[in-house]
Amino acid sequence: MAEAKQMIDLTPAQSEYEEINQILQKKFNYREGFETKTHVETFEKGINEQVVRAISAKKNEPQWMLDFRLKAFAHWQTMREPHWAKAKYAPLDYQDYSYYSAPECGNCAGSCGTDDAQAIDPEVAKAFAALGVPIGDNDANVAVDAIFDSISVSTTKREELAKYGIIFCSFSEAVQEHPELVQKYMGTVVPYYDNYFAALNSAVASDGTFVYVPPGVRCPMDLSTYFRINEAKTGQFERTILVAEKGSYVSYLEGCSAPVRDTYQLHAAVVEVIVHEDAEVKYSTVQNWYPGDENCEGGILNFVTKRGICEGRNAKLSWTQAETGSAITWKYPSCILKGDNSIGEFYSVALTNRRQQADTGTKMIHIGKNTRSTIISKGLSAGKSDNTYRGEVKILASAEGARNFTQCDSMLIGDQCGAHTFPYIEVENATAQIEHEATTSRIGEDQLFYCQQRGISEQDAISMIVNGFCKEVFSELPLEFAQEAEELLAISLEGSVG
Amino acid sequence: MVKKRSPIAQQALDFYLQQAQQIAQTSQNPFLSKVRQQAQERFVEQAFPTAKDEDWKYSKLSGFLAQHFSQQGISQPVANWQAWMPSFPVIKLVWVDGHFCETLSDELSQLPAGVLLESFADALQANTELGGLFANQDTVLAEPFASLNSMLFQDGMVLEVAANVTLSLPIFVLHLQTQPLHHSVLRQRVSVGENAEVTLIERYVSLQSQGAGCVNVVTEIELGKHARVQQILLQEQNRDSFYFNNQFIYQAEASQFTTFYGAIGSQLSRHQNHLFMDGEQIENQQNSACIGLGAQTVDSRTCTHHNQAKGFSRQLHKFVLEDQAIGVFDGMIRVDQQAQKTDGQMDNKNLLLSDFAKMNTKPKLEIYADDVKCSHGSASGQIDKNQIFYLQARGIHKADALRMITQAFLLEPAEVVRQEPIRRWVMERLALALQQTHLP
Repeated sequence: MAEAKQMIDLTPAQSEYEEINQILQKKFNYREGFETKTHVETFEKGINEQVVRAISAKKNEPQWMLDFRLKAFAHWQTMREPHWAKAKYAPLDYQDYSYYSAPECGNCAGSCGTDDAQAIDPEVAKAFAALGVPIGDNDANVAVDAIFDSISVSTTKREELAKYGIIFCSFSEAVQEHPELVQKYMGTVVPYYDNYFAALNSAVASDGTFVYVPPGVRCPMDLSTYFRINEAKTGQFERTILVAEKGSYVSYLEGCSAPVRDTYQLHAAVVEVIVHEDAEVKYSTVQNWYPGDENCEGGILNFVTKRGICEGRNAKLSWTQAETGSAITWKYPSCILKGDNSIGEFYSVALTNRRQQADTGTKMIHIGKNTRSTIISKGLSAGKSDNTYRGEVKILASAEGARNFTQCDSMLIGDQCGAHTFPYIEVENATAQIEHEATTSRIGEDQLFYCQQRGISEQDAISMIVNGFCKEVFSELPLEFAQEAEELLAISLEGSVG
Repeated sequence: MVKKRSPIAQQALDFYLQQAQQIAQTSQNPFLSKVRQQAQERFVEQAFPTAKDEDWKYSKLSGFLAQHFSQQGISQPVANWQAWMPSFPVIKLVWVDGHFCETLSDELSQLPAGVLLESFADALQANTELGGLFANQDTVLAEPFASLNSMLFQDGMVLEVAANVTLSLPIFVLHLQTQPLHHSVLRQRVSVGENAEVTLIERYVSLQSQGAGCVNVVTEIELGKHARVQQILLQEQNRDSFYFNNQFIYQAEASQFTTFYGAIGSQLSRHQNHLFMDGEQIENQQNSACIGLGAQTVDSRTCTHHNQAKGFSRQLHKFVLEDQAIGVFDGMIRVDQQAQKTDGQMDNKNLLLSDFAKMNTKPKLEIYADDVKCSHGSASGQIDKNQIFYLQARGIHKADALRMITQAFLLEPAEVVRQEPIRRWVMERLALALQQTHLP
């Protein structure tokens, strides 16, 4: 998001479209694609019980965490790789990945103090600076947890947050310092046996972010995590837990990127969000993993399980995502609406270009009375890509008076791509009111003509129309993120028209 | 890969395979033997679907598998067939327990010129060259129940309408089930020539009000260029019975196809249209109105393949569910890369009258062309209180208001039926069925 800031600083007087135009003219494709060379410790490729134990030992973890990993690993071995998503890829060779990689001086999770920013490998620091992620404690009104391959290298603004009783640290640290909280919540929303990739993640979880907001606290700043995969043939398996106690509020953002590689890289994360009574969580993602080359070779396989539970009455969980990267995306941020009157929201923009394949959507499970959910999904496909919305709305018999509104719009740019919608609607309560709408369209020639007639170039007109198409979702993103998302969209669309 | 089967599923599978073998032994025609053999192989592979199969998640087969339905047996005499006839003039054709009944049907030699109608059994006898009857077997065998049908069928209907023939009278096909535990396995093939027009009404009923029977139908309808076909299908078997129908519709350029399916009876009914739009400027409309009461499972599904440009498809599917009924709607609009300028729309609306009823909906789009207009909409809920209030404010009793609203809701898909007397007849059948609900 700091990049977005830079853009603002450089071009204060310019309009949105001029900016996008500038970016388009630069003709750069994936600007986060650089590689950082530093001393790293990377495990040998392969996965077995020894590796799981070694990861745990490396992180100096307590016995219960190791037990959790082993249990998950044993279960994972009994499972089969799922291939039901609308994406074609060869089965992965899990022995061909390394499951742990860390810059050498940053691997002391648990023993580092709060001033660990100083202990960051300068190369790593440089990488984050280039990405525009503020990992030093500066003035930006956002707290950042920066994760580099398997470990968290820096977490800023912790002292300030601690004043409010907010815990914001890496997952490994939380295991050391707040074991009672981690034990209480880990695996409650996404159990280790939930699905294939959740089981794998539970076994070899690298690092992630832990957020705990105490009762009645409104988090004064946005919390943010930036994920960076650097080593080749490394899997990143972050585990994020976010707990919002009664009456609290937090807005959490995540961003991600990876260097250009020539083989598929695996990213299998698990995110668990627990929202208690009257609390509200806003979870925003701008996903910009490396999508691979022209044929999407070497891109990231983004197989993510994100799920939140609205545990108490009047809880609210809102997922917002802008998905532009990854060779294959397989991601369904979900809400379990257990508390009465709780609210779940899902706003998504997914853009695919080249040969990217995205199968993304949400699950809204209504359990409590008068629960409400809203799904707004905008899918854009260009090039030879496939973009799929797959979502489930389930109203259980107990969900008296539940409401759901779903809108899925797809836009096709070019005639080589595909846009698909697979909604599942299961209603078991007569008082529930469910509405689902889906449309598919393309950028109309008359729309383009209208813009061009007024002196707007074709490329600009497309950007305008696309941004207008996505506005409903972008307006849900925090301001700077929205800017970044719009830019990303423009870059990812580059070369798809004209 | 061999699927895991429950002992009950295995028993049922063995039972139907044994039946298939008996039938195979009587078969003289080598081509037919090959068709059956192929179907049998596919069926063994597919086996009976379970809840783990994506397309069978919501329609459970356990009730069907627990009983074995045989094609043997002696049909009960049909005394009161007039009761099942509509009041408007039709060409009447009757099948009893899956076999063509000449005595009850109209004289086939009296059919208008250009219309050829024979029972499937006769067609098999009369022709040595059967390739034409099984031209699309590869497509058909994709469905497990169509495979089951292909290895077991013995009779059915072959209807051919020559080019430029317009049939003024509708063809009325009555399928009667007279005995419990009977399996009627029917194969229907309808081909309509260029610029020809026909209306086909099918009605499936059980003579007894209790006792499970089973109907398994594969219907293929081929439309030539500019042909116009209207199909009206009412499924009114008793509520212990089973109904499986796979319809394969192949449309040529500029043809028009309309189908209406009314689901009233059966413990488990599953009606599926596979529609292939293999030419430009094709139009079609697929509607269904489904009522689910008691422990019924009502499954209505469509799969519409837009394969060529400028296709136009419309769908409206409505469900009214009460008690512990389960409603399933699954619709797919698939638009091929070539099918530019496609206009496809699919609507599914569901009314739940009880807290124990369940509705499962999957309206799907799969689109590979950019210049298309496709949309789907789905809504589920109970009767809007404002609507009731509105009627009450105009002096209508609440009970009447509820009934009026429910009826108006359910009958909408039937409006697609063009001829007024037929439409009125269909609506009467549905309205009558609604009287069995617990609406006050």
